[in-house]
Amino acid sequence: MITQSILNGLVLGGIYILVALGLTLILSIMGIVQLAHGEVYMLGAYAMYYLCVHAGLNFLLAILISAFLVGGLGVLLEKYFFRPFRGKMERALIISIGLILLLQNAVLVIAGGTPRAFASPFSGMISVLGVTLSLERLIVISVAFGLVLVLFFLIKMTKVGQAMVAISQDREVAALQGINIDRISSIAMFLGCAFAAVSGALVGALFSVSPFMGGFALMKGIAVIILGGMGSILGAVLGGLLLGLIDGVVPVYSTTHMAGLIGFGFIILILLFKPQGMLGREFE
Amino acid sequence: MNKIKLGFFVVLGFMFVITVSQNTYAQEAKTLKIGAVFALTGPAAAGIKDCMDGVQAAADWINKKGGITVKGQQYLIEVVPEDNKSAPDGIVAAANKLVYKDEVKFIVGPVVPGLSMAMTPITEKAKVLRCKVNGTGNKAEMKPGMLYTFSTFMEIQYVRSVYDYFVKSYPNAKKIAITGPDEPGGQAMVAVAKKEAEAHGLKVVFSELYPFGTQDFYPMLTKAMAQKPDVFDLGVGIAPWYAGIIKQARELGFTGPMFAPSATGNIYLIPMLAGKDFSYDIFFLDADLKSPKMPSIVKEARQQVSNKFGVDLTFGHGAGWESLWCLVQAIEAAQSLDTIKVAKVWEKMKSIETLYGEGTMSGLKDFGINHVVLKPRPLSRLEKGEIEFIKFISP
Amino acid sequence: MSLSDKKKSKGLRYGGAILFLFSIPLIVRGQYTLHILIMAAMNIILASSLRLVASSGQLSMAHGGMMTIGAYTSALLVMKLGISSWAALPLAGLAAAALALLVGFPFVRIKGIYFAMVTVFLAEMITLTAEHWRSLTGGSSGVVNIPPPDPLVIPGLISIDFPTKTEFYYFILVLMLVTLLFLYAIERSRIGLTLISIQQTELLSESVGVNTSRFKVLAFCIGCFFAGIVGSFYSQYINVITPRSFEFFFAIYIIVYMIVGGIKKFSGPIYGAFILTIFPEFIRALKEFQPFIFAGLLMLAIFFLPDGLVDLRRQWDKFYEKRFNRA
Repeated sequence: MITQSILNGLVLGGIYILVALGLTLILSIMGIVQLAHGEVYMLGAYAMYYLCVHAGLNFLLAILISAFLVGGLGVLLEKYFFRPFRGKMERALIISIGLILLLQNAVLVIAGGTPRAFASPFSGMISVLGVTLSLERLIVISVAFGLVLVLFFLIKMTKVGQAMVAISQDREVAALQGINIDRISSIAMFLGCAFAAVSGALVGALFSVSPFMGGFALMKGIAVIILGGMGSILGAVLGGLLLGLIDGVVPVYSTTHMAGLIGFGFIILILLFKPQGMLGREFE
Repeated sequence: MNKIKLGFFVVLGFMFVITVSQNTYAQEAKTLKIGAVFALTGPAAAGIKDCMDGVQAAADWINKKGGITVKGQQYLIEVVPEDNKSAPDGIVAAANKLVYKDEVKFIVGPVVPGLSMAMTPITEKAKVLRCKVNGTGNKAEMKPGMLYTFSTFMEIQYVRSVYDYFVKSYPNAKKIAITGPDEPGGQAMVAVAKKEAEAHGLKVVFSELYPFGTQDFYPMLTKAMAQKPDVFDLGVGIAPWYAGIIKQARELGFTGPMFAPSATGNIYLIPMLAGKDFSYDIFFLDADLKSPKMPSIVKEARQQVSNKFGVDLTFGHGAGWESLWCLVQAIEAAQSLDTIKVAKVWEKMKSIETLYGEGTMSGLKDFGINHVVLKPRPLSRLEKGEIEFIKFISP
Repeated sequence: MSLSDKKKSKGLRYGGAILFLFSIPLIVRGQYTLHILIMAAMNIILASSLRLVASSGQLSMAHGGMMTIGAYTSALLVMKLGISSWAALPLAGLAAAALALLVGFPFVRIKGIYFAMVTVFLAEMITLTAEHWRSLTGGSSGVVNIPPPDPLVIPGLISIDFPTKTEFYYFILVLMLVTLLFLYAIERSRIGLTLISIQQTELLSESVGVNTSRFKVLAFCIGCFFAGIVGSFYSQYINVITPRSFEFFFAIYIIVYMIVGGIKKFSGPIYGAFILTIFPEFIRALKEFQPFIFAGLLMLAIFFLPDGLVDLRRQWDKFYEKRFNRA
């Protein structure tokens, strides 16, 4: 039971990391709390539903298309909604709440409230030493770590990545050095939303798709990046795995409420000692 | 002579005027406003919007048949739809609007127990008769003193019959795991199910409430499976929760029977969401409404809903439909629009028509008040992803 | 007009406004309208008290959680211990303030988005505790049949019962006026000025010897005190509370009222809460399309009125002048 629950926790951690990656990118570069990120994730899942079930596309092809579509939407959102409010937390917050209302209800009116599902091609179970894991879930962890590596490589090795680091550290200094902040923000928003779409696709296949699925993703995503430290990819990985393990193991020995209490309590405790999260930097 | 003649004509004329005016009076139907409160926006809107459409379809159907007749006066129903925004303060605002601005005397809805509880103080105080859609049977949903609150059914009344069916069909099952969502309804159901399971000779090896909106059931199921149950009782819930538990329990290697002594809201979703391969050996108090085994009235409702909204009848439509229909039957039985009189007659009604057959009023034993419609409900199995109708059960 | 005349006319205006507010139940017979006004008054207290916290540069999302604390404290005190609801009301506020004091000192070390998020987690923990601690709180079923306020008796003079919304309206109106007066006095006092200086230049304030964290905690405690009071009022008015009565989005909406109304002026949250509470009632007929209009309103306000709805008049004049000059 303990090995199985640790494994469950790792899978949950993978899901949390997937959700948090895009969010941490947007938060650190735009300097805003994008509460509608959960809705972007939901749109990714709905794009998958229409592409897979209605257009009958191949699952992997559909993921690529939906990531590009939703990433493109992210670019538009950045340009028309968030650019004027970069670094202005309060007003960007209201914009993102407006977006939550718009996107949730647009999907509710257009696609209806009925939950939807699309099947992933990875069916089947792997059983080793009395521990079971579905292939679908294995894919989730693999993709999560794959994306972590991609993002890590992107930030360490490319010019755009270095520009992102510079912006997240100090926007004004970065601008003085000739970094085009608009362009980098655009790219960050594209990547962040594309990541959200991919996680929406994978998690949507695991569970179900509904207009209100974003709330769960948002809460967990924020918890992970606050614990890990904003803008830190390693922090997101660490935070995701820790919260995943708490949510995977604690309910087995206590209750799910207790897992939530311990998880949030743990985050608050960490912040008291490290006000910028485990691996975060000061953020203005 | 002239005076007598004149007097005669005057009387005749007077009588003529009275008859004519009375005739037109009787012919001209009045409208009766009935409020309907359901979640149209917010998280509870998913699936519950169907209830509102069901109420509208039922109103059209009743109006087409001549509306409601009370003491020779014909009334056509005008539904006043209100959104409860899936939140307590939303439903309180909606209830205040219906009761004090639209001044309706009759309301149907809502579905979610927590929202219904928030509304009850307002309707009770204003003596507005309300027929809530479904219910599980939490003490706060229905109890003595709620003079103006009725319900189309309460899930806990059917638990015993479903367990009867279960132990008859699966005599070898010994250990049972019981789950449900952590909300007022889920709590009540798990408590009743535990009692019934023990009364039917089953050992309850696991029982837990999962938080509202859970998606990943692996932690809970891992804990449950360690107790090696033969069967799962899934309690009350909505399709995505049931499907999530079914899919994930099957993934973790559970091959035994699973059932819920309640409706799913939309049974077609279960095989869709859980996968056809995993949808076996499962039964619910729900039905494929397209099945030819359904009563003719279900077919009529299907026709009505598809004409008006262009969609297939779901359980949600049916639930909304029944709430209005039961209320209308009570008004006609009482031959009055006075809510006190209607309530008094309603709680004594021996026969009330529902979509699945003739029902009666009950609840005195379970809730201390005879305000719940007890009716036959369809029991269906899922086998290889197909829905098979078993039988109607009535407790 | 001399200065004293101006002061007099201002006093006259406020006096007139208050008189009007008190006479509303005489003019408006509709209980529904009164209910909306009660909700608006509640939201005004919440948004205004949140502004006090925000004026020290911290965005708290725990106001919903603090209402939960207040609502449960007062409901349980009245129902389990039989305390008078009039004693429970301030105790509910004190309970919320005590929790704020407990977490305040560690919390104010955390800044910006992190502070906002920590308060979200605190609110979530309050909800989870209420759901988990069934023996005390009744779990997710919440507390039902919470009695209305006890009759207000002044011996030998009057006895006020709470049978209708009119009495509740006067209750919340008095509560609102007292709260606003109190908050206004704080803003004008040394505390208020210190808070603003902290918000603008924290390092500087610290270097001239202001203990910034003490003032921040004080603001947080006072803000939460009023949230607790409103929670207690809500439980007595609605009669039912559940752990999820004031969920995440409830707290978010208080912030919306405050910011869309205008955070810079004292009157901002008042306008914001009032307009945004009554506005949805006018678009009820749109049913599932309501959120589009509401979201559109929020975004328009944020885009075109950077200083909030209170600034509408000035922005409009500017806009009008531009058009007029061009023409």
